[in-house]
Amino acid sequence: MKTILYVEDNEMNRKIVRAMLKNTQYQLVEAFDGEAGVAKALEVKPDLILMDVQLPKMSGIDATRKLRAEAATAQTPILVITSFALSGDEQKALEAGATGYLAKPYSPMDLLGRIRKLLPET
Amino acid sequence: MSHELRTPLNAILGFNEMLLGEVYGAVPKDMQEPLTDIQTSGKHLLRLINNVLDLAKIEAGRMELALGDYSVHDTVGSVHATLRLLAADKGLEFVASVPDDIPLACGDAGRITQCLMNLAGNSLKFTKEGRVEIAVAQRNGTLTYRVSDTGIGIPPEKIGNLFTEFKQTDATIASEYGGTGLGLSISKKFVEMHGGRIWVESEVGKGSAFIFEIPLRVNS
Repeated sequence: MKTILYVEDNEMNRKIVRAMLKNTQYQLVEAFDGEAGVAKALEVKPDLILMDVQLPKMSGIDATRKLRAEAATAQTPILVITSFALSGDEQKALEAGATGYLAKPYSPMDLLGRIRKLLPET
Repeated sequence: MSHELRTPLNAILGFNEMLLGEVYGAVPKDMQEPLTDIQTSGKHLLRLINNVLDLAKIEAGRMELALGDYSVHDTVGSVHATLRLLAADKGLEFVASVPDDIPLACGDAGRITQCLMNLAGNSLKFTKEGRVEIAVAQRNGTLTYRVSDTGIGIPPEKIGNLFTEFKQTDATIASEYGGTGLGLSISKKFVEMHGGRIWVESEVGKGSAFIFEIPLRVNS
C-alpha cells in the first residue's frame, strides 16, 4: 500500500483529501504544520507528499527545501498546493525542489488525477 | 483577505464536486440537478470574488505585473484550448490566428491570458451563431490582439460605459448571459499597466470586436 503524506493546517481541506482517498488504495498520513510535516515525512517516508504553501511554523516552500536536503526524502515526489494562482508561489515551489504544483482552487478529482500520475495506485 | 474569502468557498466547491462524483455514494437522480446548480453558482461566486480582489488590488496600487518573455502563440493557444469546448457546445466556429513570424514578446503572460479569456469568453457568451476569432498582428513593435464575434453587438450609447465596473449593458443581459460585470474593467487595467489601450468596435446585430494594443516588449 502506498502512503501519501498531506501537510495542511486547514481541517476542511484535510477532510476533502481524506474523503477523496477513502475509496482508493492509498494510505493517508496527515501533518498540520510545516515543522510537523518535515518530521512526519522523515518518520514515515511516504511515497508522495502533498504540501500546502501557507502553513504555521514553517511554510510549505521551506519544508520542501528542507526535505530535499534530507537523503530519505530527496527523491520523494512532492506536489505543492499553491495558495492562489499568479502569486508567484509556483516558481518558488519549483525552485525549492517540488516535483509539481497545483493552484487552489483545485478540483479534488484533478488532484486525484495528478496523484495517480505521479504515484500509480497499484 | 483573499485567502480568508476563497478558502471556505474552495471547501464548498470541493465537497460538492465529490458529492457529484459519488465519492460519498450514489446520488439520486433528482438531486443531481440541484448539486450541479450549487457547483455552477459556487464557481460564479468564486470568479466574482477573484475579480473583486484583483480590482481592489489594482485600485490600491498593489498589483504588479510579472514581466517575462512569453510566446504569443502559446498564450493564444492556451486560451483557445480552454474555451474550445464551450464554443463546440454552442456550435460556434472558434478560430485563433497568429502569424508565424511573431517574435518572442515580453509582458505578463498570466494577465494577458486573463484579458484574452475575458474577451473571448464574452464573445462566446454573447454569440448565438456564427464565429468567434482571436487574431494577433504585430507592427513596429506593437502587438494587436483582436477578439471578434458575430454576436448581438453593442448599441453605440452603451459603449462608453462598457469598461466601468458592474456595467453590463443591462440587467436582463446579466441574468441571461451571466458574468461578473468586472471582466472588462479588469482587462482594461491590465492592458493599461502594460502601457497599452483597449477599445471596442461594434454594430448591433452584426457583432463586436474588442481590440487591445500593447508593446511587443514591455520594459520593466
